[in-house]
This record gives sequence, structure tokens and C-alpha cells, in this order.
Amino acid sequence: MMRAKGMPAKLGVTILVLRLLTAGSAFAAPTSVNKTQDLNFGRVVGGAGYSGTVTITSAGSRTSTGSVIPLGTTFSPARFTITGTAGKSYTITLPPSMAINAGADQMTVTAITSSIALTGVIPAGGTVAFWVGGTLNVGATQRNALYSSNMNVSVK
Amino acid sequence: MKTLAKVVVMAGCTALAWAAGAGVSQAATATAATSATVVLPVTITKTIDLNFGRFMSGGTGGTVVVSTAGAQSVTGGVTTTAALGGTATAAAFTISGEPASTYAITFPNTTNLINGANNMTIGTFTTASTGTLNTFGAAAETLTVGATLAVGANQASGTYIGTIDVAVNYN
Repeated sequence: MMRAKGMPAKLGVTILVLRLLTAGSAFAAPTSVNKTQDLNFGRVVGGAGYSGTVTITSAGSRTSTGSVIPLGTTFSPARFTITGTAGKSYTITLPPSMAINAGADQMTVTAITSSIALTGVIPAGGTVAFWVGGTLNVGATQRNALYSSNMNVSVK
Repeated sequence: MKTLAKVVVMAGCTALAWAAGAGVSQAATATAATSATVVLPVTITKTIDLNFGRFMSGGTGGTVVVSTAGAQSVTGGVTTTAALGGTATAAAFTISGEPASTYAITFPNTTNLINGANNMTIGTFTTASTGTLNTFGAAAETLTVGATLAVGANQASGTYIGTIDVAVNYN
């Protein structure tokens, strides 16, 4: 008997190629901020019944109210520089108030203000500088001392 | 006879979800030192008045000088004696302020001493201190003030009185 030859079965092989596409998005460099000058209210006659406020404006002038007496010519607003991609928007965050300390004694700094709007767009050149001032509140029993603390300013 | 081999090809379709970068940037922070120095007020209290003592005017004008030590001396047509001059005193003030802070003393340019319709002029103030003049120490100090009195020719006799304002301020 002859055996019937079986037909060889053709196996269709399908090769499935999956290509993973990586979307190449060019992300802008992150915006950074650097401090270039500290906020210094300078020397002030206060305590011993002398009280009031001393304000350093973001424009750099110093004024006072009450019986406190600002002394000397050494004072300055803080200065910061934002660096980032031109055209990118930024938002500055200032502390609403802060305390500066001399040991257990403290004074508050309020009305912390910037010389520029808190939101804006980084200009051509990639940098924008701004100044920060505030109002120092001096009490009538304020102890004579050097008061200090750190002010954190954020930019995103 | 056919032998059929069925090959089933299943393609698994995997959906890849991209996490789209929504542009969320981290906030950058910078820190500025914030400082102020509170200093004590200046205090000033008069303890002794300025007195040029007693002297005699002459046919020409002159001056009476009281040093910061309270010593009287005369020039020009003005004469005096030790007893007359012994009544002179320098002014004295007790002053205090923030230790190590410097201060300035301010006097009026000229001040008149008056006796009725007559007057003489004080000027040329001099200063000395029991501490370091123009810099406050830890303790209060005594500030002494001398001056020069201009006396006219044949200045009318009498007691001449005036006031001077001495100001001490931080520099």
C-alpha cells in the first residue's frame, strides 16, 4: 500500500515588530535664584522707651516712624537674581513676615516687598534682578543687640 | 490527507502611556541674611552750669576763657584775680550710650549772655571727658565743657545770664 504523503504544512511566521518611540522633548533649564545682597536695617536707637518702625524700601531708602532713630548710612535691601530661559514665566514667593533674633529676644519684619511684580516673564538675556525690603518693628523694651535671621525667597 | 496546522498569531497590543511632562518646575530658593542692630538711646544730664566767674572789663575789649578743667583766663583789656577767677566753673554733663559707639557733641554757634539791655557773646566751646571722648564706654561718663566769652570795652558790670543747648548724638 502506498502511503499518502502528507502535504507539508506551511507555517506562516509573523514577526511583530514593536518600535518604541521616545518622544524627545527639550525641557528648558530650571529657573534658579541667587541672593546677591543681604537685607540690613542698620543701626537703630530703640528700646529704653524708644519704639516704632524702620522700613527699608525695595528701592533702597530707609524711613522710620515713632521714636526710634535710625543711625549711620549702612543699610541695604536684599537683592536677588533670577536666572532662567527667556520667555519663561516666573513666580516669586516672599515670606509674609519673619522674626529676627538676638538670643531669646526678637523683632518681627513685616510688609516684605519686592521691587518688581511677583509674577513675570524672564526677559531676553535670561536674568532678572529684584530687591526686597521690609518693615522692622522695634519695641519700647527692645534689648540692645544685633538681631539676625535668614529670609528664604523662592522662585519657580 | 491534509494535515492542517493552524498557527494562531496573537499580537498583544500594549498601550504605552506617556507621562507627559506638564512643565512642573521645582521652586528654587535663595536665602538672604536679615539683620538689624538696636542701640541704646543717648542720655545726657547737666550736673554743673558754665560760669565764667568774676572779672573786670577795661578800656579795650577782650575775652574770658574757661577751660574744661574750670580754670579762668583772660585776654585783652579784661583783668581778673585768683579770687575772682576761682568762681569760674566748666559745665559738666553726665552722658551715656551704646558702648563702643561714637558720638558727636553739638553746640550753638554763638549764644548771648544778657544783663538787661547789655549782652556778651559765648563761643569757641571746648570739651573733655572722664571717658574716651566721642566714644561711649560701658559706664556713663562726665563731659566737661569750656568756652570763650567776648567782653566789650567798658562792659557794664552785672550778672549776665544765658542758656546753651548741648546736644550729644550718635554718629
